[in-house]
Amino acid sequence: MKVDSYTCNGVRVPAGAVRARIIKRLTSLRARAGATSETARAPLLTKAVELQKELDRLKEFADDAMVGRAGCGADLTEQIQAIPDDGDVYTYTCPKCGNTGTVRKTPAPEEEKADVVATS
Amino acid sequence: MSIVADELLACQSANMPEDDASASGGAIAPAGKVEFTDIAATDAVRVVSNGADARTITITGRLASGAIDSEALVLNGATPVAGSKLFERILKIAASAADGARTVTVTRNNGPTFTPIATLEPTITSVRRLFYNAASESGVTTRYEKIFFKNTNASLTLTAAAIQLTADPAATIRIGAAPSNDDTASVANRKTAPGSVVFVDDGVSQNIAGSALAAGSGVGVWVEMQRGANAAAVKNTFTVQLAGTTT
Repeated sequence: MKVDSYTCNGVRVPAGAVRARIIKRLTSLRARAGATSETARAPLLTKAVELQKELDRLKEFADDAMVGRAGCGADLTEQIQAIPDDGDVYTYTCPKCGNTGTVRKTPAPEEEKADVVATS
Repeated sequence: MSIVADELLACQSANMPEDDASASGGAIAPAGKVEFTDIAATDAVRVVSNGADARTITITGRLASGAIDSEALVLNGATPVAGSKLFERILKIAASAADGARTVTVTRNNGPTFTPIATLEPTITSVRRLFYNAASESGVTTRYEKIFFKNTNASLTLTAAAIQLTADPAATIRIGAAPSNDDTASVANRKTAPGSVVFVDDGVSQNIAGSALAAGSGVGVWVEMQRGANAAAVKNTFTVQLAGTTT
């Protein structure tokens, strides 16, 4: 049985800001990789490849396209768990950063509900 | 050695519908990928293998007219084969058979650059777009399709595992993890909501069942696309991420 937990990703930020953040990390990683031994370099270069892929995915977006997230980490579990599983769309609000978004919980399939009734 | 990102593969599910009447979801289909880079401008497509290979690669996409069309290209080993049909977008790419050794590279035929579109690695037989040929209607429409993330590491479990929608420029997608890993749940058609799934937008990271994905296991991710009444056509991408920790 799945026990849910939810974490806030933060408010929206423009693609330009996300790009700048990734480029800064990439520059730092590559500098560290260059200054270390070949063996120690491997995880740094692997991470650099991942970051480059993220950067490549952003190529199609203008700098002001709001496609990134600022990051937050607040626990939204209690708020989202309180939302009923009625198939409707509900809005959540992060108490830490103010990020808002939507959640939809679909009800359990009929056969699962019938099973619960039979065994209760 | 720790799990690396390339070992967390995004795969199709058994039922990737092409209409609103066919089943959607089901078990993992590891021979199918869902990740590719769409053709950036209307152009022909080129395919090439990395060795002796005579399979047929069928490209399906929309032409500039909007009509869906296909082109079958017979591989000539490591010699590139270019098509003649001009695709405005790619919908799916399918190989006539699996090959356990060969990698097929699909690119735009825009020499000398040959911009990459997709790669069919050994055992991969298809790459496709979700919500194939889906259209908006006079009322709000919501559709559901399913992909999987598979942990292909030989022995390590991805712990503190969570999924998130990291990019949704069209603001039309929500995702939800299946209630259990390696599940086979499906729905009668893609307009039917799967049961017991919590769909969240790109503002929330959601844990998967048990917050862990064992070696060899897959987690189903239901993808919800909602289009408003008479919504304009959209050609866009979205990005789903599975992340966690590893020893």
